[in-house]
Amino acid sequence: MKYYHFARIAFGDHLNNRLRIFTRYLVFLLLDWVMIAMWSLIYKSGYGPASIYFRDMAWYMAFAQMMFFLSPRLFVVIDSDVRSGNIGYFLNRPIPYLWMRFAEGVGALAGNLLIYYVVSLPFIYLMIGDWPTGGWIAITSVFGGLVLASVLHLLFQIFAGLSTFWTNDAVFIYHSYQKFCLLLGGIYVPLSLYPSFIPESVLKFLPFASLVGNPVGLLFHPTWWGVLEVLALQMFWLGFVGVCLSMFYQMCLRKVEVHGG
Amino acid sequence: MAEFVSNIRFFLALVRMTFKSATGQRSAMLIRAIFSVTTHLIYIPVWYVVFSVAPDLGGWRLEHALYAYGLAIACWGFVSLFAFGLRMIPEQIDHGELDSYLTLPKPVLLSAAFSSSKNTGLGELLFGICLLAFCCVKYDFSWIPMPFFLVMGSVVFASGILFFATLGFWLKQFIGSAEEIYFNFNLMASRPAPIFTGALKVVALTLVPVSLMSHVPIDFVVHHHWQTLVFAIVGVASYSLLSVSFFYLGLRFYESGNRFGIKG
Repeated sequence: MKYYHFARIAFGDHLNNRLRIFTRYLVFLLLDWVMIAMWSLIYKSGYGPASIYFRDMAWYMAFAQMMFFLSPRLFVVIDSDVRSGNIGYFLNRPIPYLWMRFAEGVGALAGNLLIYYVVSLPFIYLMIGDWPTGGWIAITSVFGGLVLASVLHLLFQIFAGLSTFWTNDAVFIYHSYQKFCLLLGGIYVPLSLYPSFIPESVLKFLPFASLVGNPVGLLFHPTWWGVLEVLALQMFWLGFVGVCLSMFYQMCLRKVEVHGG
Repeated sequence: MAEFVSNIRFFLALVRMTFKSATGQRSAMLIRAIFSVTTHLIYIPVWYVVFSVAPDLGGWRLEHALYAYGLAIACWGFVSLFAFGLRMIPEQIDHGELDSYLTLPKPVLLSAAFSSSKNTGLGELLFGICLLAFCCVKYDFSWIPMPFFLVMGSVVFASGILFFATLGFWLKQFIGSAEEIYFNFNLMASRPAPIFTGALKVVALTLVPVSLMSHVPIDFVVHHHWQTLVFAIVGVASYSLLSVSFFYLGLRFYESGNRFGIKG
């Protein structure tokens, strides 16, 4: 129940910060615009994959960019808590710091979902001029997959944030993680189009694919089996990363107890 | 003239002091440099994947993407290493830290911009330069304009940061949004130039002038279009002037005490 209240307060707080939401949204639209323009050029140059229509590819690019914007930048908050020593005050409270911040992240994520899902559809439609061939079923399944992907992204962000205990800077750890996502997640190019030495059959089992490539790839073939497969993989990675994060958090606590804040 | 010379001296002294402070923690700097080089190495195969799908994007090939990426990263590193204060301006405004700069010798912008450094910048700068050098060796690009493009790109990027950071004078808690803008500004500079057409090209030449940072230099390296380069230099000078003027406009607002806040 207490986690619900943390999430609820974070939800309200997040929606109150209209400027941050607005500027982030503008950046998101600009990136969408650039990525759609890139694939438009690829199709016009005759290199577009025959198996994927341009409009599907454009929607894929828009949703792939969206994943990074749905979650709040939680690693910055944790990085700041660790560096300022404020984390010491939170550790005395009768609630684990890790899950408190996670609940806040989920609350802010819920606010972003509301905005991005509702506002983005008309904007992306305006940019592309057509709906994806899979129609609403495809869009709905991608939306569902992106919710779990964003929660997984939150967990990775907490990892990056807690790494500040050793690195004194979470930003460069987060950027490394982001680069791995760009390379292995299928953000610029769908996983099915990767060269044969990085086969899709291997990539799709990695956590990075569960963040972007798998859920957003449902746009191309929205089948029940496909949706189940994507959700099952995401649930596995959520569980695995969650357990690892708990263990990592215990290591961080030991470090605080031994060396101080 | 005497004021200009003394400003240059002040600038060099600040840069020397900031660099000394950044290199003071040698092991931390080395670890971060290694980490940032590894991070950026990961990004290169992304372009291999993109260009394996489309080997030629309106005349833009892998070598151009690598050169653009090298320039973008070197500029990011240069600004982080020598002028990290620019990135922190919104936070300094929020915390009232600009007050201390107002008491220092003028110009305020020099003190605010060059008073702090981020030591990951060294790795990024070196990585960017190595990538540019690789392009010059492997793809036979000219070495001569490279230092000039590094300076030009860094000025554009620093001016862009200053422009967006200045919004923090009017908008509270802007640091998060500002960091997002800086990062994506830099990321966009490595995108292929031919995709920037129509309204997108106007944006890339004015509000977010990524074209001046990477597209024009690559156009010069490949086609030797002097006229484009001259226009770009005029564009860089104008954009820098605009950013600096905008900063001082914001600073006047700050000095007037209208940005009232309560600390608790």
